Amino acid sequence: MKNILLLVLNVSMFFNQAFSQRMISGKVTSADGNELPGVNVILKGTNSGTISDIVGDYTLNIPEEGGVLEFTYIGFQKKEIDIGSKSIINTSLNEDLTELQEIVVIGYGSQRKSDITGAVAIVDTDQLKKNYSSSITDQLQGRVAGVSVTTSGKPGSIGDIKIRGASFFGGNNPLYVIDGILTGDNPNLNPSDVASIQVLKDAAASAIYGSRAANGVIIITTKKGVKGAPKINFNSTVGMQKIPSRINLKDNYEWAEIVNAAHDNAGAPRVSGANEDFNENINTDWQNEIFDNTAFTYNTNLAISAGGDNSNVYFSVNKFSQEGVIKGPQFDRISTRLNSEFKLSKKITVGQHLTVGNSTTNGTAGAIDPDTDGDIISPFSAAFEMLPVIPIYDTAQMSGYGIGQIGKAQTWSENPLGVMDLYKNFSENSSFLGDIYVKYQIMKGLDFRLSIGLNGSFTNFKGYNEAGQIRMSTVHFSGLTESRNENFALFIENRISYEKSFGKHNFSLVGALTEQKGREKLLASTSVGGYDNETNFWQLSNSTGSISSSGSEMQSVIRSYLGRLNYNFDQKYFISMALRNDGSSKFAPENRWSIFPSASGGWALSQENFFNIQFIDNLKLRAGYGIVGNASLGDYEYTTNIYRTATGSDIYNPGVNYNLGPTSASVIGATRSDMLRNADISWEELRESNLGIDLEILNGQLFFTGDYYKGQVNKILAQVPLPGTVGAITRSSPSINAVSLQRKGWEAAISYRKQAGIFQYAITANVSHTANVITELNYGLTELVGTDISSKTTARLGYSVGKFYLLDYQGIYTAEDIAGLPSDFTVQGETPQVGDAKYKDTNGRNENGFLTGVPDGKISRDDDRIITGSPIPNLIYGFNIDLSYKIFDCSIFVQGISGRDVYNTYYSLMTTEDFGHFTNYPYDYDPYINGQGTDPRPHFFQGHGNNLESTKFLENGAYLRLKNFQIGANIPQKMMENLRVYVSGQNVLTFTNYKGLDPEFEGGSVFTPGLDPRAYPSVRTFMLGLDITF
Amino acid sequence: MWIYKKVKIIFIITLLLNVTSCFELELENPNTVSEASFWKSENDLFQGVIAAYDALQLGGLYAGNIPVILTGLSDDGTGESTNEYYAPFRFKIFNSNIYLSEMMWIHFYAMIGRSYQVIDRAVLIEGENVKSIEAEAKFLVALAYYNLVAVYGENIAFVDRIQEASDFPERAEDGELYTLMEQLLNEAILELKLASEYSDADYGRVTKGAAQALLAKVYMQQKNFEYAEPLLKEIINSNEYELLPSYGDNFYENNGINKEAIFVINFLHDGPATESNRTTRHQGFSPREKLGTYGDVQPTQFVYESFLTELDIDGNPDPRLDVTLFHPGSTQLFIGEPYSWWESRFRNSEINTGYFKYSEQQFIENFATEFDGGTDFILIRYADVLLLYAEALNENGQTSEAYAYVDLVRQRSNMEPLSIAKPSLDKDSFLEQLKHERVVELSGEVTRFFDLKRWGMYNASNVERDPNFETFVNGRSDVQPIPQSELDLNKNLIQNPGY
Repeated sequence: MKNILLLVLNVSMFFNQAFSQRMISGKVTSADGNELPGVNVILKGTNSGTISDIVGDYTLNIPEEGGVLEFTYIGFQKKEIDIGSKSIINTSLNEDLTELQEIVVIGYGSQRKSDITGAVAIVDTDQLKKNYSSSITDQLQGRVAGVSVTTSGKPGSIGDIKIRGASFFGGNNPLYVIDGILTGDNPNLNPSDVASIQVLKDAAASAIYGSRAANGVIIITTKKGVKGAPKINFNSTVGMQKIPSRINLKDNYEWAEIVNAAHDNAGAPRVSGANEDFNENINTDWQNEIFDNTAFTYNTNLAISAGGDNSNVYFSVNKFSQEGVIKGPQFDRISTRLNSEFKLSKKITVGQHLTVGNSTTNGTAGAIDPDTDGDIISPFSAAFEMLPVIPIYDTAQMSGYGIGQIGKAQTWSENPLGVMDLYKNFSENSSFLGDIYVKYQIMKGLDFRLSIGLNGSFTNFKGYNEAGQIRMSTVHFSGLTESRNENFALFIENRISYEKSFGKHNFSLVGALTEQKGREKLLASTSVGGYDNETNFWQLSNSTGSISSSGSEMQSVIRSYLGRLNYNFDQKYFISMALRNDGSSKFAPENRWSIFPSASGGWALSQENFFNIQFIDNLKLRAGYGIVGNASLGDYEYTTNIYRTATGSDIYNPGVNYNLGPTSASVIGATRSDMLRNADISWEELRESNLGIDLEILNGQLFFTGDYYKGQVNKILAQVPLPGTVGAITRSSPSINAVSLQRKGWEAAISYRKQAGIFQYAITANVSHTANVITELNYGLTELVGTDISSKTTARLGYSVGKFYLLDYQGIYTAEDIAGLPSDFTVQGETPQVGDAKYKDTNGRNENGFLTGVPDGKISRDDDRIITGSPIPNLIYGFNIDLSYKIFDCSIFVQGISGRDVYNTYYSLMTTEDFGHFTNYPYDYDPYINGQGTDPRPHFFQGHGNNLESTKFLENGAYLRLKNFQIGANIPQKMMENLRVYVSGQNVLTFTNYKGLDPEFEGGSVFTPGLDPRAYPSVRTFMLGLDITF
Repeated sequence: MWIYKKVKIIFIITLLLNVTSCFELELENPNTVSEASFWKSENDLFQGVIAAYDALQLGGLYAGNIPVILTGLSDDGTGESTNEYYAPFRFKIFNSNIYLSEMMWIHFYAMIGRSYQVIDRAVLIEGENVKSIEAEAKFLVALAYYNLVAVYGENIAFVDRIQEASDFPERAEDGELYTLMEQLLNEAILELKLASEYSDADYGRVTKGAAQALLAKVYMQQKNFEYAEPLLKEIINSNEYELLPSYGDNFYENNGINKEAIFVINFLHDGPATESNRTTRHQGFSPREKLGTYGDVQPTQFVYESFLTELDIDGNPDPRLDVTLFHPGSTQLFIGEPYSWWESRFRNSEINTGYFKYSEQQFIENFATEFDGGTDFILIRYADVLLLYAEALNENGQTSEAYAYVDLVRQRSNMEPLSIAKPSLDKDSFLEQLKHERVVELSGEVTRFFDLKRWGMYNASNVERDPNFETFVNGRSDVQPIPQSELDLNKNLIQNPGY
């Protein structure tokens, strides 16, 4: 096999030897003297080259004197040798540690890649750079098997990232470890500063992070200065962004026809805007008004790296700006980094990492409404809820914006342009993250390391709006909200590590004590009303309205003791065992501490003497088991607090006070808060087994890694409603370790790299599958979310979390259908007619009103729902090709999901639910009017059988997306080390059957993974970039 | 040298280990008091009992639903709305998770829970008034059970201590809750102050008289008139209470101390600025919805006709009629509108009156908002106690002695003394007369529901007075179904028979 390939290559090289003038030959060996076959030998800067033969010998014709020979071989470092006048050049190549021998950071230490026994993904950070994004996590999308990332086009947004799916009902964010500092937040890092990323996926690998590892761990290491003369890298890109998709909607005539039919069918008077006041000249395309904005984005990065024998330093500064693709938020970030290390003596090394950044977001994308303290409608929803018959601007209205009018053209949507004009939001975040460390070599193999880290983040938010009217029947007050959030964490880590080899036994041991203290302070003030639109000094002190303020302070401490033993025998048998004991202030003293153990092993089958499959270079089997934890819990949540507020939030949550005496004297009382806590709560835990295989064939050109996992997620904290007898005036639902679920799945990644002279290509692909099922519900729970009629999803025993819970839609009733129905058959209490929605009768109630499970000839919105669909993708995959030819290179990255059902909330909102006929309609909505149509008869009344949530809106949510392509050229010149220009595109093409705006979305919560939240869609970007190193 | 190095290493490691362990794992919440660190002083206990009183004003209880539910469930109120909300009044259960019932259950148990926080902590706190504060809480527990047992029967959740998240209380056995109520009230009576021993600023707190009256009611619901009689007698002899000269003054906000009120829920019109909860009452008795009042329940014809059976001494209608009902002969306005305006708006021909009592006319005309009534709701009125005493005497064979107490009530309203109008009634006839007296004196005050139960009259035969009883099923409808959500969440409870 090998020989055939070599032959082919030799033949191809033959054609390059046309102008040979002299011959050069030699032998290539490895550092330890082994002959290396198949080494590429190329005269630098030309197409002339050859390949070493089976004993490492090569011969090459070169055109003239001088020149440089380049030796490249997979797994070894590139070597360049001046030819001068030599005719025989023998050389040895050093093994390249970036491949299998690469040192990989695995948490509290590092390991050779070949020694890894857990499911650890090593991310190719070079590939990541091609994905244009302000966040390193967004760049991970589609790159790592088992890591799913959902991105959004919102400026400055950080994509939602999950490793092996969502398992908990609080956060499912992985733990990020940035240069050793643990943080649960998405890291706000400059992607250019990242040197390496490792993802610890299984419990055995992540258990060293114990109680915080159950959602997986992403270890990010930033760049260090490289030994040598200072190198300066300058990188700049400019891009254009646009929303790539639309949902086609009805025009003014079509809207009027349907809305008239809806009123006629309900026996309600028609709205005049569709009737006598219909104005054929008004036909607003709201999407065009909102989406038709081209946004620019700029990224400039400057990095300096330098190093000597005893010190090295890396410095960078980055400026990133992104305008909004709708008139709205603009994101700007400036961040700097300084990493340095000094060797003070043979035994003592000190160093530091520090990044300081400032980012601002200006504008609106669903503003805060001070009247309700809630978000007002997002423009991405308003674009579909506004009607074509409403003009954008309408001088007859109070604020001059076109709005819905009762009895004329009815919609509750805010005028999205009014929102953008009147509501202003500004937020600014300043942050720093860094550490200082000392390493002390106590003796050979025994090292001590102390590091002290700080992580701070300070956010100011200010939002305000003029008074006015941008919504039907609603005049809003002016208002202003300001808030300050201060987050600060301090880390201390003491680590001691020991490495020893004797004979074929190799040991490494690490032990550490770590502590982390976090503090968060919040201050917020809101003024409702109080601003004169003329004055426009938007400060709280200028308010004449009522101002309310709030403030709070949170603290938490985690203390950990941990240790790990890695052992291998002769690079054949590997064992890794870890133990971590975590104590957290979040739990009561008796539940505070928990031990998280893990063990894993590997067997390098290919190292065995009996293993003689030629084309397999490396075959390793891995197995591991571990217990890791999680806490979906805030601070102090194990103690019940005393409630003694006179003023409650509303009439359903009143304060505690009572009036005594004949006059208006009020006395404030005190009682336990309705938010009853359970002191018994403890860590949530994942117990997971992982089986893996690593396979390398064809001289390391083809690499495959696969993992299968099965785990039990136990003691999941869920909000458990308590009986009223507990004494709370509203239903008390404390967090209790009440739920268990099983999760299992597999992941596979394959890569193929080939270098054929000046033509190189690499293909990488990954695919993963994950699934969960609820195996235990305690405390009398029957399901995890309410059964109220607005709920479209459920979480029940035996099903996965967030399955759809909907009426089973069967099309519309024909005349024959109606004739065949029993006379007392009803849908939502009414006898169905031809053209009405037909649902499957699945359940019924007895005379006392209790469910029987037997169809009763009555379709009810609540009772006849079925559990259906699969909101969690069956497969998530990514596929990447890198090509390079001479100075040109090209990469194409495709990413997608399959086997996922989604609920099209755009269509549901526009044609049913309680807002049916208060919105525009999708273009392919074909309601039954005058004996024609395939969709249910429009009916104006809320709760009518034709306006219900049903499986009609379940769609195939699979998609395949050309996420990224890049074409670049390294321009040959002598002024600098490297000059590269490139063009690139993102979200260029999407293939999907989903009719909503964007199939790539994250449901609002873990319970609603398949409900489209109608949020900021992915945007299409084209950019131009320049990269210079000198 | 070698030793020196080792010492140095050990020194450094020790130093560094000290740097660790510098954070404390036990953190106090800086934002609010935790339950474990509260409950230290007598004032904490006082605040606790205030919270228990506050429960009376919850929407599920006297600020909102209780008057509607208990009147709707008895024959002095009827409701025609087909809304599922009112299904209990028609004894038709579509779903035992009826909001009205669920809220009442939750809020009465909240009152019990808040009270037990006081009772269970009182033993650990010293102070002059600790015992009497504890006694107030005991009264409130008994009051909650008195209502719960009447509505849901005796086999409901037995809660007699502070509940934790892990508590799923057992179902009470027959008699167990009555024993608990008696015990709590007997203990409370020993510690409670007389009304006159409280300062005016404490008006509204539980008095000894209130506890005695409630205990008497508890006994009488069990037909134990023997134990009730001396308790009622002691209240009368205490001279703490008296009938107001004018009957109607009980039902208006007067900002004064009412000597006829034995236990009131202290509502305020337009409450103090610091409050946002319901200090005011929900108006549920309007003939129909208008101007922020609700027409949940209307009086039955039987109530109206009861007033028409007897004229006062001067030959005029019973003066309590105009106070109690808005009726065809009303000359006053209801929310600014005369009877003729309302007449065409009644739900059906069976209904032609509305409750005028507690209808807050003085405020609703001007401030027509939903929850704006400020009149104190009198839960135990001296006139009620006088009539109960007469009933107890009659039951205990002292019918002739009983006349005097009925006459006190009648004469205050310019009615001829019963001793003249109907002298020498036998025991049964006297009881029948008392039933009438209680209707004309107490209608609209949430007593009839308990009266019917006490007299063994809570059954389908009430259909002759209230058409809603048509669907009443004897043996089932005499208690309401336990809310399904509670059964789901506590497997120790079981549904009442027939549901």
